[in-house]
Amino acid sequence: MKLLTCFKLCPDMDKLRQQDFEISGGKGLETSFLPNMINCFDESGLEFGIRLSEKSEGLEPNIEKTAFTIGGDASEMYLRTLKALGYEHCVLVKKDEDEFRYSPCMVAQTIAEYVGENPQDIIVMGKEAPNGNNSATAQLVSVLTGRPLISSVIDVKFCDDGTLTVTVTNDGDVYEQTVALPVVLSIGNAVISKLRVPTLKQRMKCKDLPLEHFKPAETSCAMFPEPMRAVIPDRRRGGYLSPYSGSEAVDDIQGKFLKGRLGEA
Amino acid sequence: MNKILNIDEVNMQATAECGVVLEDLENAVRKYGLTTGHSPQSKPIAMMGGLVATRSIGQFSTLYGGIEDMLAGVETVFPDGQICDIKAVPRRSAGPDIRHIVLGNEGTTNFITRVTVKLWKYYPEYQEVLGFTLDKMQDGMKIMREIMVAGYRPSVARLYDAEDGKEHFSHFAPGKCVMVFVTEGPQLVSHANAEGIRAIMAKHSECTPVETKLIENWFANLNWDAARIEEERKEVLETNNVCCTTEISAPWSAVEQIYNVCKKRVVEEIPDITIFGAHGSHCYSNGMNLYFVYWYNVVDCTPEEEINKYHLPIKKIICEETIKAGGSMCHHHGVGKHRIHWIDQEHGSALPMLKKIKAAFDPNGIMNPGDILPYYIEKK
Ligand SMILES: Cc1cc2nc3c(=O)[nH]c(=O)nc-3n(C[C@H](O)[C@H](O)[C@H](O)COP(=O)(O)OP(=O)(O)OC[C@H]3O[C@@H](n4cnc5c(N)ncnc54)[C@H](O)[C@@H]3O)c2cc1C
Repeated sequence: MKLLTCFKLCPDMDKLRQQDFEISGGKGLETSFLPNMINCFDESGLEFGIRLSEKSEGLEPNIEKTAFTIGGDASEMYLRTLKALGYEHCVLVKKDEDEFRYSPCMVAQTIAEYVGENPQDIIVMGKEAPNGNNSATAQLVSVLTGRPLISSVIDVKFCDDGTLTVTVTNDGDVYEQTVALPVVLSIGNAVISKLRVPTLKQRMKCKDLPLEHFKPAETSCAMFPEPMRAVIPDRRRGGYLSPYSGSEAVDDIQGKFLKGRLGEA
Repeated sequence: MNKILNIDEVNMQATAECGVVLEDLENAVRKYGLTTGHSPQSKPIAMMGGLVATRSIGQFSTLYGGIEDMLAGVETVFPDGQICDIKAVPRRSAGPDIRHIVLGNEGTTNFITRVTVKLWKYYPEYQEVLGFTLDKMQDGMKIMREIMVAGYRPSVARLYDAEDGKEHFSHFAPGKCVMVFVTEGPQLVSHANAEGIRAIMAKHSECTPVETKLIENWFANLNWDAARIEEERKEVLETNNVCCTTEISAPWSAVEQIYNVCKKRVVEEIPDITIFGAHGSHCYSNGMNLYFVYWYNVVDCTPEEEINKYHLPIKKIICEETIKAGGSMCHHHGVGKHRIHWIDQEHGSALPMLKKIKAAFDPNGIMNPGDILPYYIEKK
């Protein structure tokens, strides 16, 4: 049985200070100086992959895992970590982020093409990522590969008969469903949010093992337009008015906050 | 006891009760264009009393020193109820410096109630930030020495090895060591220090300059508040991957050896290590500190066994190797209860002085027992 977990690196937006908000190339926030991290939903997906395969150990067939990412050189370090954690195949599609940042369609086409050449039973993806943030990729992969999609997945368990029990949230409700394969799972606010860490010895063992590279055919996709222009809107302010008389509060609101916006009238 | 009592712009010192959080004091003095110069990573949570009691040190120590250099005066209470107020003066030679009975006592002999620290003018506009990558930690140590011995005084002088740096710098320096300097003070002083350091770094072809913005952003995110500590706890519970640190200091002649031996031994002897790295974050004319940072997966053991399976064996290697090479096993986190096992080796023939201080000020052993001196040594 084959499992593919797709992940992407994204900037750690928690580390962006407001004073550093700047638009780069007219299209989005400048984040090139930020550390990167595995998108949090994808991180859950990668850990689920390992847990599922542990569960399948000793069963026939057991799970062969592939970690797949489209990205730049920085991805290699993460793929090596995944190799050390037992992902049998770690696949990199080398592309600069600018080439695919606003194109979930292109990403989905690339994944579908890989799956076409390397058939998979379970495709695990994250619900969304902060840069792009459109929740579209998993849906497009589902369409392009012709498999059902289960979204907002928060837990996955492997059953002895080869099916999966998937826990899903929907509008505050939580329910479980048993699904047959093949399937695409899009991970939401999962119970498991962190990827385990390989030991130094595991890392050393995989240090020189080659990563796999996949070269997709030229894709073009006009389904999602590129943003024409990005701007940072004026800063909105919030605060408390300390309790004093109603008329003083009205004067304050009028004088300090509204006058400038509404004009003198 | 959480009030700021006085900010004295003439004498350039501030007085606060022991429960004032350092960040609150720093924010208060910044309104006057001043700084305490103290900036440990725990600035948002640590309090003035605790900072003095543990002999803390901040990230800008190479310029401003540790808390021992900042503490002008202090009021403290002994277990017999005696309140002693050590007055704040620029310097004095009226016998031994009794501030040091208070500094670093970790609550084992007295309870600090009020602290007076020195203040400096704050010049953020003249701060210069420099970053470099290089391949070998050992080369970095030699360059650090060169800069300190030449007489330059950056406020920050840090050196990360590649393993520790991975946590911080992998987005621009994967597999590399990183050196960071910040200079500050009046424009001429700050600039002269920065230029001097640049000139030395330029001589070392093994070092490559890094874009300043990368370092500035990293530095702005270095401090830990309570939320971040809580986040780390949750992560540990999920991954069973625990991070611990041990910080030592060493003379220049020994620092390389301590680094090499500890790295080799811990990685070889301790199971389930996921990261073992180190950085130097405080430099002096006669040596530097090494802050070992290590992570391990807790495997096949209960939470209460973890300390004996991983924590103490790692500490043992680092403390014993450091003391053997002529360094100190505690650079700035104090002794606490985890390092008491090696306190006799640490102090050698000076240990009786420590015992006499404890016996004199806390004869009944009621103050934080088992901290700094283990019971079996205290009573011997
Ligand atoms: C995330 C993190 C980062 C840190 N970074 C640094 C750093 O960069 N530099 C550094 O030096 N340290 C650092 N530390 C350690 C910590 O900041 C220091 O030990 C600090 O000085 C503790 O202050 P506190 O108020 O939290 O004391 P506590 O943790 O409450 O107490 C520490 C010890 O001091 C004693 N004590 C506390 N208050 C008093 C008092 N009023 N009188 C007598 N004894 C007292 C206690 O009994 C105890 O033994 C860090 C810690 C954390 C968790």
